[in-house]
Amino acid sequence: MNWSLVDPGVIRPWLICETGSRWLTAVRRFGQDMIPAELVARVESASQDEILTNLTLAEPLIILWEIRGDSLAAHCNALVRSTAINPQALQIIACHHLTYREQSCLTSFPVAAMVQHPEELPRLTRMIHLHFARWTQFID
Amino acid sequence: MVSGTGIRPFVRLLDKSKASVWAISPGGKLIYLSPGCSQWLGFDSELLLDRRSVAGAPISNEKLDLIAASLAAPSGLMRRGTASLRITPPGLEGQRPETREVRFIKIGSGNTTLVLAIAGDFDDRLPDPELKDAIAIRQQLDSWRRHHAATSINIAAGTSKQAVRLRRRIHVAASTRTDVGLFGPSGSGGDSILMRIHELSAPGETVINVDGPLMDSDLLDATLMPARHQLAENKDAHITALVRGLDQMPFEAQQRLAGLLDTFSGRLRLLASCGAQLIELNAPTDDVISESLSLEDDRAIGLCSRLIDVISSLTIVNPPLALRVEDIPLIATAMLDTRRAAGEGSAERLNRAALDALVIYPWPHNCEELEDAIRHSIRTATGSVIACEHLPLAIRSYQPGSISKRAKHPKISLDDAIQRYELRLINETLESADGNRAEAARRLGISRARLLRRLDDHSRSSSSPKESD
Repeated sequence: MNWSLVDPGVIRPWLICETGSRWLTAVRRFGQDMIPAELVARVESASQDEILTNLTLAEPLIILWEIRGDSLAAHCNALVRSTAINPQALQIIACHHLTYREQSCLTSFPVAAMVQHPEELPRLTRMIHLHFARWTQFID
Repeated sequence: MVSGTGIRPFVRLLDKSKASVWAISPGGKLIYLSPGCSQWLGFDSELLLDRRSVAGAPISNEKLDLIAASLAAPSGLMRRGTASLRITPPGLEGQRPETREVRFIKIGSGNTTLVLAIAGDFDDRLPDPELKDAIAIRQQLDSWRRHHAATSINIAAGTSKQAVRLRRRIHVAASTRTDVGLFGPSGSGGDSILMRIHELSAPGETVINVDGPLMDSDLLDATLMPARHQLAENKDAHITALVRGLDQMPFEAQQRLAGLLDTFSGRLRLLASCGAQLIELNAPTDDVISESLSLEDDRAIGLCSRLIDVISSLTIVNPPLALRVEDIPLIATAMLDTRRAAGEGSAERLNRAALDALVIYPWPHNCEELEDAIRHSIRTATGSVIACEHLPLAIRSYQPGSISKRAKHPKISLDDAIQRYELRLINETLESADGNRAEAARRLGISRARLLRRLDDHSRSSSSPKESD
């Protein structure tokens, strides 16, 4: 899709940072249905560095991080940095590969939700609707 | 006697490594402790050499003997060959060393049995995430079966609110003998739900199957003739009519059925499956009724008001599978169990990749398609696990398309979009030409005057956005 033809105001980016394409496929399947009807989801795969480099304060977006035990520390750092750049970004963690102890480490970070499997994504629909509604209030 | 290769290089490497490794002789005495043990225990481990290290053996109160005994292998090692133990040895001077996971290995047998112990961080005790998921699904399924033993229909498995509502409705329908209307898209397994409701609410009662779309009033009469006779002859007789596709039954046949239900009120029960929506059908006018048969089925779909009244006593909504995404792993596993119990194939579970593929697929034909997919997979799988490659091609190769193609299409003003595109192109070219407008115009293949006009237009339209309206 040529995104330059779509009104930028209705685009809601989903940035997926993962190894493989499990969550990219899942968000492509469910992402559009999880945001308000008048908005358009733009689902993109991005590395941690790309996310941190391209993140801007003014953009309402959702970031889905797939975190594994061996990259937990690096991701914690990325979570802090991304929150500092854009505190309004909704950050979701895919934590299938984490132990309960590792998952509990993440609770002190601004994480909106943790999901284990793609079938759990539709449960976040209400939260995402509210998030974008609040964002609209915020920019008004 | 054949001798092994030199032990020195091996011991040198062990000495160099920081690993805590020790060996216990066949007589139960410590015969080797690596330098890593000294670091771990906090004293020169050589002091422990030749001390007894046997579980359960009597020892003196000397601290070093106590420490040596704490390094002993668990008692079952000789039988099992390997063992794991978390060891916290007593401290020699107050402070206790940290707890470590130790793996013991028995080498040899009889009088030559040697025990090798390695302390470290091992994660082989953590269950494979794949297996952990399978166990979680199995536990959920078992719990669902325990709680809904009577009404356990595979389609009703799940934890979504749709599944919970469906189960509650089925439970009510199964506990009383009443007319039931079940609404759901095609392939959503309505027949099995209605059959189960019949078995539970009126066990042993005669059931007559009626295929709604194929009926006309005469054929319906003929189909229900035995039931009518039975009901007329025996005042205590009760019969259930299970009608598939009631809303596709012609209007006259629906009226006829409503008449029979009135005549044998309470004794003739209706269990009917309908489409996803309740649509009221009005009586067709004379000019609409055509006697000629046509291959094109343009018959109106809906229910006459008399039948709506009948099924209003209890309606069940069976949502499409695509709305119950979170239930799919559970339903698929329940279906797999049913087939395995019937002796089909040897697969015990679906692996995570296969479950992911099932979750992502949009299921246009609902539960019946899922049932077919499981049937296909269990026949294709050779081992105990169904993987992605065992699923039907349509499912395993499904890739959600570009979101924009599927999405509710946003409102796009073509003029605005073209203007935005043009402006972006001009800005990029200007930027690449270091702001030189003549150069930018040349690169864009237009005159400088035209470029200036376009920039003027854009600046005007952006300063007064309402003008275009």
